[in-house]
Amino acid sequence: MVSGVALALEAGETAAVVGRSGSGKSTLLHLAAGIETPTAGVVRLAGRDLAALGDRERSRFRGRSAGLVFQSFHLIPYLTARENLLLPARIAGISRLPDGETAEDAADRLLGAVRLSDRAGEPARHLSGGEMQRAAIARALLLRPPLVLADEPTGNLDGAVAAPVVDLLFSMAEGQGAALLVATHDPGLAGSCRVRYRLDDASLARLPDGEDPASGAAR
Amino acid sequence: MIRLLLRAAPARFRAAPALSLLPVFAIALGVAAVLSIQLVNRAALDTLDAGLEAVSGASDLRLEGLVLEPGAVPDRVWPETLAVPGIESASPVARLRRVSLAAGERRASAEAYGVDLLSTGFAFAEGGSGSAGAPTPLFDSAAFFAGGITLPASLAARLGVSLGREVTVSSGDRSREAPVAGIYADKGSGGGGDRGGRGGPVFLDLAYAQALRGRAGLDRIEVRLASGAEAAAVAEALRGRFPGVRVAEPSTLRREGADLFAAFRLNLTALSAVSLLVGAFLVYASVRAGLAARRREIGLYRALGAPAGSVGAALAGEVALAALLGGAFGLPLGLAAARAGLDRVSATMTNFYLLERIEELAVTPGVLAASLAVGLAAALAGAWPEIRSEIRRPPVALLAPGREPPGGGRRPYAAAAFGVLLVGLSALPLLFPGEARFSLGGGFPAAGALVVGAALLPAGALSLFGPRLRRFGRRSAFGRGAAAALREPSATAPAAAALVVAVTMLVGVTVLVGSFRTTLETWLEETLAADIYVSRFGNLGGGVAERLPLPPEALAAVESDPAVEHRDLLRGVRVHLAGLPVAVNGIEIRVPRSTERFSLVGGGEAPMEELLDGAVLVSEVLARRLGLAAGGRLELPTAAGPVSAPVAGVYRDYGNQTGALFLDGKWLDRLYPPPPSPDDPAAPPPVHGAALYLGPGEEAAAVAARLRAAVPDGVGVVDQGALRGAAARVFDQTMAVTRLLRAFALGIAALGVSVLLLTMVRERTAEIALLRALGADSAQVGAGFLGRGALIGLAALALGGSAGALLAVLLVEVVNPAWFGWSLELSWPAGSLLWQGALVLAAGLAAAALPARLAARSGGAAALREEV
Repeated sequence: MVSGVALALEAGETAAVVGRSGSGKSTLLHLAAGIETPTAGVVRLAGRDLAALGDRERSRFRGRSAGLVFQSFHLIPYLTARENLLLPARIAGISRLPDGETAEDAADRLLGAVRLSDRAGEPARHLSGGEMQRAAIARALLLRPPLVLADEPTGNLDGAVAAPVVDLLFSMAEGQGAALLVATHDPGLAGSCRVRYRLDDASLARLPDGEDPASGAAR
Repeated sequence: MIRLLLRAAPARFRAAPALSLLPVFAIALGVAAVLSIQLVNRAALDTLDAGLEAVSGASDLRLEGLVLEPGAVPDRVWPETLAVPGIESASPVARLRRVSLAAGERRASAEAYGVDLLSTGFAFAEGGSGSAGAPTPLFDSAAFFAGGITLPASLAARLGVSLGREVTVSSGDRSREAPVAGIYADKGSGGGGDRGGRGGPVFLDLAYAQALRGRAGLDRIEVRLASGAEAAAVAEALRGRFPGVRVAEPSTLRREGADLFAAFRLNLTALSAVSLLVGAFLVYASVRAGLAARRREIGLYRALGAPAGSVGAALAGEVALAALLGGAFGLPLGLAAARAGLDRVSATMTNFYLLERIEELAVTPGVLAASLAVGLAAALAGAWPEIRSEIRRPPVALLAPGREPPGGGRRPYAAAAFGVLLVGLSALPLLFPGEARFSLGGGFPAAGALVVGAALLPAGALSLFGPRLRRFGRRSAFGRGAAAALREPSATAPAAAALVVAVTMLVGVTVLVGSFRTTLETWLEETLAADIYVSRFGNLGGGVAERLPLPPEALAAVESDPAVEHRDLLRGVRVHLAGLPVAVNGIEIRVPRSTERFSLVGGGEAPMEELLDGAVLVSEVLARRLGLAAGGRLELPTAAGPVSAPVAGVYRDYGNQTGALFLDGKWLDRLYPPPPSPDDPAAPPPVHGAALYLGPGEEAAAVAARLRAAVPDGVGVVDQGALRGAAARVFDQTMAVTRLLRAFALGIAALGVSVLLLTMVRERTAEIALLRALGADSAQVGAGFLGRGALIGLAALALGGSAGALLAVLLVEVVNPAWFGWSLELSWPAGSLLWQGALVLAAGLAAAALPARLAARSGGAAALREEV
């Protein structure tokens, strides 16, 4: 799906990957998160070679080190918004974050940040699309991972709803000092990133600053 | 992870209640089937133990006659036993199978034991366990020695007597007045355990008991060893001293007793295991459906950092919780089923194996825990393959399930090929000739392989034949539903597999029962040569109890009736052969139609001349157990030592499960001379039954009615037709429990079909909404799901019917002769099979009714935004 790709992200950096459908953007993100393993090459996250880890260790490491935001939100429909936020902490068995804040307090704080405090007790299936994606962004940031990966985060949202979600994603990632890698068709969203890449024919090329990603990305 | 999933369980249940409840129901019914059979089996063994311990208490050795007849142990053996080194005490017992008790207008009957109160080691005096219970304060030893009787409290209450009151005790034509010398607490005294009008036994002094039955001699002597004495050495010394007496340890007696009905218990256990197997399939089906619906959720857990092992363990934990919940429902259900079925099984057991009725169930924590554990293991075994397969998928595939159809990537043909292999292997025993076919575990492993193999066939068969059959279902919504089920074989197969297992069992057992009944009817038709049969009540059935002789008045009535042209008088004794009681019957060889009385294995007529010369005819069960055949020799134990008799032939006998043999009455009297009657030493030998041949033109029913009026109470006179009817009733009673278990399996399977379709409805809400948007009305949508149910029923009928036919052949040709010793003629009860086929289709349609209704109602606009 992708080959010959070299990409490095520093803490606090934002990067976008654009490319046509099927070009391998999602695969790249999955490789970065360790959801998929490369047949060749190395993926390092926070300095660790993900391929060198076993499934259990890699899973645990991913849970703590990479926050994931999906196009189709992937909330558990019968859990409440707050419960969905707490999932990474529950899976990792973390009740308190490194700075001493409890996972519950962090979830409430993030719910407030994404303006979902009044919807915290609602099952996810009752939320609107924008609300779902805001909850998914908050969930991705709960454990303060060094890397946030967002796969078409606005793909299922219309423009009016998408803009505040994008703002939220960037401001929150920046607030936590996390690197943000976004796969998108959306030129506006790509333009918000400091660095932009185009993935085409399985190769990744950095776009010069100022070039409109739409010129090639959304063919 | 486990905690996380458990915390979410209530919400998941609210989201999909039917799917959550399926494994619970499936395991509940499976556990119920297993528990009820285990309880009933256990109760039968306990009854056997109680019978053994009722008067033996904790004896170390038992002496009884090689010939199992009343008074077979001579009185002199008792004092001589005490002279054998290593023996601390010896307690003689004389048993009366049935005595009548009367106090004023009130009457009752009971088993009676004549005992020696002074013998130490006697359980009643010493407070052992069993029916005798603890020593009672209500006991007057002086009155006992003076001919008093000790009663169980339940019997005393029924007769309305108390200590010191007189009751009339009678056995046959002998009776006497006896004061009540003691009353002991028995199981029936609480009121609930007194079933069938009989409580615990009554006790009399030994001499009075012998006088009451009109025969000297003892039935057994219970021996306790001195401290340090070796049981084996003392037993050997006793055998050397008393060659006509059998010496056995209680453990041997218990084992022999348990062996008597081991096959019956195994049969019930196997049938209950089928219910559990069906339950496991349903767990598989429900877990599969549940996981398909939760694929994104699992993918998300994996994406968020949950290792595959943790997710698998958590999902298995969910299944375990459902299984435990199912078990919690199943245990009381199984208990209720066991209580409901106890009378039927008890009737079967007392027809063939036990002397006592099974009175109560012993519900121990152990048997409850074991049933629960079996249910849990079945659930996990059913769920794990699907869980393992799901957690092995890459998280990406789980997060985007649309890329892969449910169950995609499977190889249904591989499973079906393995199934075909198992089915093929299961037929192996049939290829072996003669007795060799019984060597592979008596056919049970083959039957198990067949059932499992059949269950693996549906996915492959639906994949193979689906494309060719689908074109038939284009014209109606019903047909399109059936075609849709064919298009998704991997989704349809689990429910079809559960139904296939149930149908296989249903067909196999139905044909077995039908073959058995047809064989029995043919056998009765062939061998009931006489017109009228006279016997004491209780002598019919061929069980393990000793037979009671006909009273002289009955014999006189038979002798004097002018319509009777010829009488065939039967005397029987029971002897121990290879650890089991065997009926040795002496008959008059030369009677009209004499050769018609036996249906020989391999055909031909019974060789009467050989029988007159001292040869024996052995029953098929006995021949199979001892490896006998015509031309061989059988060693008969007699009081004078073993006697070798030639075997003239092997006859079919479906009325006796422990074995029987026939020989000429004169030879019987020579080998087993009847003990002399104390009242009349010149009295003729006892007669246990009479077969009467009427003169030409005589009406059997009319003669039977006349004789019935002439014989005393307790003697039965039945004509041939009535005897056939009685045999058929006993047979139906014996098979009743299999009907219950078949219904269990079918019920569980139908439930599975129903919930699988409910799951489909839920999974296809958006699809249904689209169909409705495209113009389908609710009836069409509902009919589609009915079509799916009908297709599953048809597939189960086709595959289960074929596998069931093979199972039937295995059961008839291998399992039944190997375990029960009976060869049956295979016969296909077309009526029953057609009826059951309709029942299976109806079950499939009924199972689809609720899902169809829900499908017809679903599919609103909300379904179009189902995905979150």
